[in-house]
Amino acid sequence: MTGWARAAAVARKDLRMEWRGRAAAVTSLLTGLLLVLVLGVALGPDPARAAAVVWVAVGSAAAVGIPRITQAEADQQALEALLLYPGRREHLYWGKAASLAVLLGAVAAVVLAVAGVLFALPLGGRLVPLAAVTGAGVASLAALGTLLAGLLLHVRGRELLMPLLLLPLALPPLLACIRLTDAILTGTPAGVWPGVLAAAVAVFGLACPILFEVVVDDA
Amino acid sequence: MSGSAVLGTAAMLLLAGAVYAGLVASPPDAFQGDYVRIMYVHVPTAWTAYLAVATTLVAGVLFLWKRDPRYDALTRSATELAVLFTGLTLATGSIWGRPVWGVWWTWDARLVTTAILFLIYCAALLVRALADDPRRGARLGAVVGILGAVDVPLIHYSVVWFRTLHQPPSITRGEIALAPPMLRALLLSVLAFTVLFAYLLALRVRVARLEDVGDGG
Amino acid sequence: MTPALWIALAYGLVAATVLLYVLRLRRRLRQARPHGREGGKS
Repeated sequence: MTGWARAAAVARKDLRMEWRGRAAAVTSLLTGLLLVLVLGVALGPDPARAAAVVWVAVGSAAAVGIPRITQAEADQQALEALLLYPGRREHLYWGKAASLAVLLGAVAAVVLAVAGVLFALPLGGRLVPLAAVTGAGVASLAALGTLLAGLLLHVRGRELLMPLLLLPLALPPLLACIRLTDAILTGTPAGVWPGVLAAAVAVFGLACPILFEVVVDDA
Repeated sequence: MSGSAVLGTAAMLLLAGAVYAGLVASPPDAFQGDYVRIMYVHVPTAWTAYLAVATTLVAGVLFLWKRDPRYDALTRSATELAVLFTGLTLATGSIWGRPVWGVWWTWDARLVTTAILFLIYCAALLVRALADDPRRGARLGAVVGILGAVDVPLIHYSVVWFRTLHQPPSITRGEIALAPPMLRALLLSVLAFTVLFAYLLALRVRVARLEDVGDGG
Repeated sequence: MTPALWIALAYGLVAATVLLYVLRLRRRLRQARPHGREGGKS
């Protein structure tokens, strides 16, 4: 089996297991929607705040959901079994990152749609740029989140530590997504933010797979 | 006299000199008045904090590469010093900001970056402490330390642009033209804190090495 | 508060924190050091 087929197999396995239980998807989606509601009430209905509300909600939803993606591995010590297969661990990382990206992408799409209704945002006709920004933001969160999920696998209280690690480290892509979403919705220039988002995707996409191998190494 | 004692004595003497230069031998600033003297302790703590972060990055990479426990002791010590000095930087910055700017905190990029770094390095210490196996904790703590250090420029510039593109910063730090005695006081205290950092790092590494031996490796 | 108090607060805070940290490290050093090996390894 080639590396990429292996990565795809890991992603399929994760998504199938998630589809059966749906624990991570449902809890993180509900967290995201709850935050949209709470922040909307607290900050008021000003559409100018909607982009910040959406991405704070998506970031927090990710922090809630990500620890679950290695739950099965933690419960059944299945990661050790996966690691016994020959070949490079990087594909395990990319498989998990892909399934996490699908999960977070779905959460982000629903959160954005609900925020669009609640804040009366002009989403229609801007779906392609919005999808591109959301996709890149989700990719950076998934790249970082997969590393953190592996990192916290053998740490006590990993659900508690996940937000403490994810949110400060993911601050640059979250800020970039807020400004870009805002720019798309109001039709203002994007400025430096595509570069910041691309830099975040590149930095996390390069550093996290390498560090993941160190993290899951059982030696 | 051991190397550590030499470093400690040198740090003490330099710090005493820096306090003299900062409090007695330098004039008050034209704009900030005597409050500029707080800068002689705030700037060096910030410098030391970033020195500790850089040390964590280098030592962490070396540890993950060579897997030598001595580099782990260095990484662990530098992470702890990074938390200590980012915390002190935030505190002294607030103490300076309150009388000069009238506020304890502004959303300046440097402040936000330092606060975020403080949190990331606290998390690195927590991950290390809560890992189920100290050897695994060493690796995980190094990974968080490296990730935090690599993320610093990204965090800093994203906060700078986030704050400046929409609204101009309400308070800008004016260009401070430093008179020679003030520059001397600042450089002397930066030097003193650098030596202090070396002393603290050496001391902390010794403690870490001895405690590792006590734990049976 | 007068400038002197603010300055004393900043200098005092840093000095006290560093001093307490050094004292704590030295105590841990004494506790961790096996007995009878004082000065044997520096």
